[in-house]
Formats: sequence, structure tokens, C-alpha cells
Amino acid sequence: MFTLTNRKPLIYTALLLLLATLAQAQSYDTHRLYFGLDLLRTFPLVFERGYVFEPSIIYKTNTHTTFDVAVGFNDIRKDELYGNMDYANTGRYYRLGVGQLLFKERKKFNDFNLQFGLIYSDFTEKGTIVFKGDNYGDLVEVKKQRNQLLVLELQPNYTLPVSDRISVNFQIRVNYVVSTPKEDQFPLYYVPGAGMMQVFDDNDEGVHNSNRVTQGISIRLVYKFLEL
Amino acid sequence: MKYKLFKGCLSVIFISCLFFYSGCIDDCDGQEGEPTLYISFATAKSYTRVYGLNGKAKNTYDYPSTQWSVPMSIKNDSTIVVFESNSGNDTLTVHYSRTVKMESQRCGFRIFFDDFEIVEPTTFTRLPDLSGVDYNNELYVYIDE
Repeated sequence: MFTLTNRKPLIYTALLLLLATLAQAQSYDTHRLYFGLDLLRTFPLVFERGYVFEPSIIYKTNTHTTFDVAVGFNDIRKDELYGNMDYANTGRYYRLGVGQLLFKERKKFNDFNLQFGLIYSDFTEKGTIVFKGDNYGDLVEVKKQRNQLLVLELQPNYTLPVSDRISVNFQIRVNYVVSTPKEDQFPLYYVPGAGMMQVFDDNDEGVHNSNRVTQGISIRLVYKFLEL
Repeated sequence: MKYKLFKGCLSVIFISCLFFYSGCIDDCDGQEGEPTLYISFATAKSYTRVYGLNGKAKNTYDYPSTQWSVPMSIKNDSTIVVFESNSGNDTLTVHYSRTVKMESQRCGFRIFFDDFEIVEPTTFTRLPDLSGVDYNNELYVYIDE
């Protein structure tokens, strides 16, 4: 049998645990570090093969400012782009974003942020065209173009908590390619970190133009590994 | 009444799409494969075999003709045509430049041929002036022999 004096430490411990849990669940005014992994980009659906791997580190301050650093690697393939070209895109990109909570106070389900980002994307596009030659043999032509581009990003996002440590970050991304891309071999198709370029039709002079603005959505799995 | 009007509009849209689509196909036709080189002579020649060197096709003939045709190589900058006959062989070498460029986003890339000339080894003496490959991917050579 427990006596009152025996129960006291148990009650205090239980109260302390309850308070700690409540504090953990309700207070968001702390410094926190997260690890994120983009899910939609990992399996780029519009391409036949390949991957995009984008891990990120997110730092949220107690004043509701977010710093978001990501590195991306990509190796993707698309068959029969522009009629008869097999397309490959290999490269990497770096993204630095700064965001702010859209509300005064951060609560469990109001984690809406607006984030501005700068992306540096360094990639090589390779196009392989095979012309069938029934009598003398095929002609295989390879076209390559490398681009190093600066991209600005506007990203409203929402973080949905799944548990205390795990959450899902939904993003809408609008990007503007600041640098002028080199597209002397064929129109620029995909900028790693920014998305598809939505190429314009050829103009009268046969010059290909790519749209500088891209947009897309993304889903990122986020894991909180440090809270101060 | 409204239903008939709707059906009519739908038919017009469908037929327009068909025309538009067939137009797309026609735009890109005739640009694939190896171009054909047509060689014409002033008088009929009795060649037994006419073919491109290093090519697969080696057609045989048993009648005189003034015109012969062989495929042109897209793999190399020249095509050597061999004319075999019982009295000896003739050779015609056509040299050209090839550039692979994107024609349009829909039709994709195409080989553009240019700078045609007759070069050695060629056994014919009355050499022609050459024009470019025409829209049908054909090049015509006339030898005044």
C-alpha cells in the first residue's frame, strides 16, 4: 500500500511529465533544427528514369524566422523529347531560403510560412539522336550543353505536424531564372532545383525560347532532431 | 435543336483537329532515313550492279538504263558509288557536309546536307554541277556521257 508520503514523488513526477508534454506540444517559441527530405522530387514523375535527391537542413528561430539550406543532386532521363531526342540531365544545385511565419504566433496547426530563396544550379543536358541508316549504318549524334544558373524562388509553405518530431512540409514554388541560359544546341528543358522550363514555340528566326518562370509543388518530410 | 447544334459543333471541332493533326504529320515527313542519289546519263549504260561502297544493298541489273539510284550515307561525309559492268567499273564520289540541327520542337532534329561536290575517286570526266538535296530528300546528278 502506498502512503501519502510515498505517493508525493509519484504525483510530482507525473505533474512534471504532464507539464513537460504540454510545453512540448504547445510552445513553439524555441530554436529548432530539422532535417528534411524532398519526396516528390525524389521520384520525378514526368521523367522515365532517374532521381532527384534533395536533403535539407532547416533552422527555425524563436522569432519564427526560418533558414532553409538544401543541396540537390539529379540524374534524370526522358525519351523522345523534341521529337527524336533522348534527353538526360545530370547536375547539382544549392538552395538557400529565408522565411517568416505568416502569423504572429506559431501554434500546432498554423505553421504557414512565406519563404524567399536563391538557387544556384549547375547541370549538363545531353541529347542523343539516332538517325536510322538502313544501308550504311546509323548516325548517332550527341548534343551537350552546360548551364550554371541563378534562380530566385518564392515559396509559400505549410508544415503539418505528424508527431512531436516528424512533420510534412507542403510547398508551392514559383521560380524565376535570373541568368540567361545557354541553349544553342536545343531549348533548355529542365533546371534542377527550379523545374521544367515550358519551352515556347520556335519564333520566325528559328530561335528557341524558354519560359523564365517555372512553378511547381513539393512535399518534404521533416524530422526535428534538435530543440533548444 | 440544341442537341443537333452541339453535335454539329462537335463534328466541326473533330474534323478541324483531324486536319490540324494530319498537317503536323506532313510537316515532318520525308526527313528521316538516308537520302537518295539519282544519277542520270545522257545515253543508256549497261551496268550489271550499281551500289554504294560499304553499303548493304547491291542491286543487280540486266538491262541498259539512263538513270540509277543509290542511298547516300548519313554516317559519312561522302558516298562512293560503284558502277560494275562486264567491260570494267566506274566510280562516282559525292562529297558533302552534314549538320545535325533542331528543326522544330515537334519534328525534332534533322540532318542538313550542304556543300555538294564531286571528288576523287571518280572515273567520269564530264562532271556535273550539283545542287542541294531537295525537299523529298533526293539529290540529282546528271553526267553528260
